[in-house]
Parts: sequence; C-alpha cells; structure tokens
Amino acid sequence: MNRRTVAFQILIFSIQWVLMIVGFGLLAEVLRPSRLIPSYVAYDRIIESAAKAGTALVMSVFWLYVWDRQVRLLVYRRER
Amino acid sequence: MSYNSARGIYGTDVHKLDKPKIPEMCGAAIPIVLVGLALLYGYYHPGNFLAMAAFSSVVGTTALVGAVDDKIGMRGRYKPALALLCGLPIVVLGLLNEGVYNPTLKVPFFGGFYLPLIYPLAIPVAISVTTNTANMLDPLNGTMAGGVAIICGGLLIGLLISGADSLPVFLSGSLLFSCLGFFYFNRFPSRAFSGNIGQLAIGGALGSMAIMGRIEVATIVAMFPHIQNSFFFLSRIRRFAEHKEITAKPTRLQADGKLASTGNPEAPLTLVRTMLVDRPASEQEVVSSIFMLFLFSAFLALITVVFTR
Repeated sequence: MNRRTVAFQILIFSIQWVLMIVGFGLLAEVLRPSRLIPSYVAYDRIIESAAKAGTALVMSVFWLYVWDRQVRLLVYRRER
Repeated sequence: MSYNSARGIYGTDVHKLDKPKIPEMCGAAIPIVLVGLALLYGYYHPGNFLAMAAFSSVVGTTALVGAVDDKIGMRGRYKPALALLCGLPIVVLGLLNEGVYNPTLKVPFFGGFYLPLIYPLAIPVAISVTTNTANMLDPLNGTMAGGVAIICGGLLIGLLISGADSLPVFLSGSLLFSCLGFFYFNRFPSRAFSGNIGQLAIGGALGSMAIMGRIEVATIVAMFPHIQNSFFFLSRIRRFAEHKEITAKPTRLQADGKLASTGNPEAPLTLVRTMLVDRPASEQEVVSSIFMLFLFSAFLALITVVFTR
C-alpha cells in the first residue's frame, strides 16, 4: 500500500468533509434566513430562490476547486 | 461465467503480463439479484411497492444501457445522456406516491432544505452522475465491487446505529451483499469481469438508494474516491470519453508486472495514477490503497448518517 499518498488523500477527504459541513452551515444559518431580493420586485420569490440556488452552486464549484488544488499540491508535485 | 464463456463474451485483463481472457458482462448477476430482492421486498411491504418499482426500473434501465454499451460500444457522451432518462421512473412514480422520494434534503447538523422544484429536477442528474462515476472507477480487479461493498457497509452501519427505517437498511444491505457476492469472483486475480452492465446498474442502484433512503449527503461523502476519480478525469480530458478513446494513457504495465504512472501531462489524473505517483506498484497494492480510501470515506459517511438523523 502506498502509505504516503493514502495519508495525503485521507487528509484531503477530511478537509473536504469539514468544508462540506461548513458550507451546509453557511447555507442553513446565513443564506436561508437572509433576504436577497426586495419584496417589491416582480417574481421576487422565484428570483430569490434562483439566487440562493446559484450561490449554492458557486460554493460547490469553489469546493471542487479547493479539492483540485490540494491533490495537485500534495500529491502530484512529487510525480516522477 | 460459463454462459458467457460458452458464447465467447470475453474481455482482456490488460494489467497482467500474460493478458488473460476473462468472461465479460458477468456483472449482469448484480441487477438481476437487486431487482429480484426489491420486488420481493415490495411484495411483503405493499406500502413501499412503488418505491421498489422505481428502484427496480432505475437498476433495470441502467443495466440495459450498460448491456447495449457492452455489445455495440457507445461513444462516451451517450451514456450520461441515456442515464439521465434512467432517473425518470423515480420522478414519475414520485408524482404518484409521495413515499418514493422526499424533496427535503437532509443535511448533517443543520436540519434540511425543502426543495420542491430543484429536488425532482436534480434526480435524473444524480442518477446520471452516480451511474457514470461508478462506471469510471473499475480499472483494476475488484475495485468497483469491493469499493461499493465498503461504501454500503459504512452506510448500513450508520443507518443501523441511527435506527433508520427498514427501506434504506434494505437498499444498502441488498447492494452490499450483491456486490460482495460478485467481488468473490471479481477480486484479484479476476475470474469474472463486470462489464458496463454491472457497473452502470451498481451506479444506478447507489443513486436510487441515496434518494429513496434519504441518505443523499452521506452517499456523496461515501463516494469521495469516485468523485475524485471522475472529476480529475473530466478536468483533464474536458469531455465524456471512453477509456479506449483516450490516447494519452495515465498508467503503463512494466516488464516486472508492476504498474507505473506514465507521467504524461496530457493523461487524466485518475485515482490509480494517484496511487502510483511515488513509485511503481503491483495491482494488488494499488487496489489495497484504493480500498483504504473507500474505508475512510465510508467511515466519514457513517458519521454523516448518524448526525443527519
């Protein structure tokens, strides 16, 4: 077994898991109760939902970007 | 195995020096077992019959797509597109009966998000993702069947600890034991190959289990090795492609029988290549490393299930 790479991967998975929990916390505690679109705007509830879904999508992309950087930095810089 | 052997349905084990011919498409046993068990469960629990019909439809249709791919070899982009359609039975039957899926996404520690519009739209995408990601992580003997068995074991323990309903326990248990049964023949040195029929059906079953068992987030966590493998494959290749369409190979077989990274900057950064970054290793060593990652992701999934309930 490649202990060094497995150890790095376990570290990366742990960080990603913590980031995922933190992300859900931000979505539940900060984004969900906040009002992004004023109520006088037409179709405010639909736009509000779309804006929140879009924010969650951006957070997911950032989460994958962090994963990508970690693998390249911790694992692939040592590739021969 | 003997049926496929008699009909000349073989695949080549390219990671062995003598390139043995192994009976292919033996993973057909997995969807047959899963559908049979699901229909039995639905018969004895009539309240869950529609849910079991949806599960069986997804597993059956994904297996069908896999069988067609095994026979005629579809181009890479068709499988995700067809797998999207395979998720529709859950959406359609869910409209008839609210017991098929619940649009509240439960997350650990923070309750849930009620997503009446987004959730049903996301179901076909989720089935397509799990189906294709399971298909992509079966490069070495036993990796898919063993890995999914480990995932389901972690989820099953988490569900039992948290006192879950019988439906998710049944779904994870049936997938665990059908994968274990196939793993016996598929482990190193392989005596049977799954083929796309088994890989896609297992992926479809994983996605359905996550949705109908209400363990979506835990299943994502359990599938971290799958996600990494698929994400780094797609980020390098930038399109859906079959392995045989890829000219820049990530690994090569050395004269001593060990696997090594090619170091080719054009080749995808697959999970197998990741395990070969430092040094060449035998197939069994790489499989052990991948199983260790599955064990850890299954442990994280177990914690996630416990804190989601």
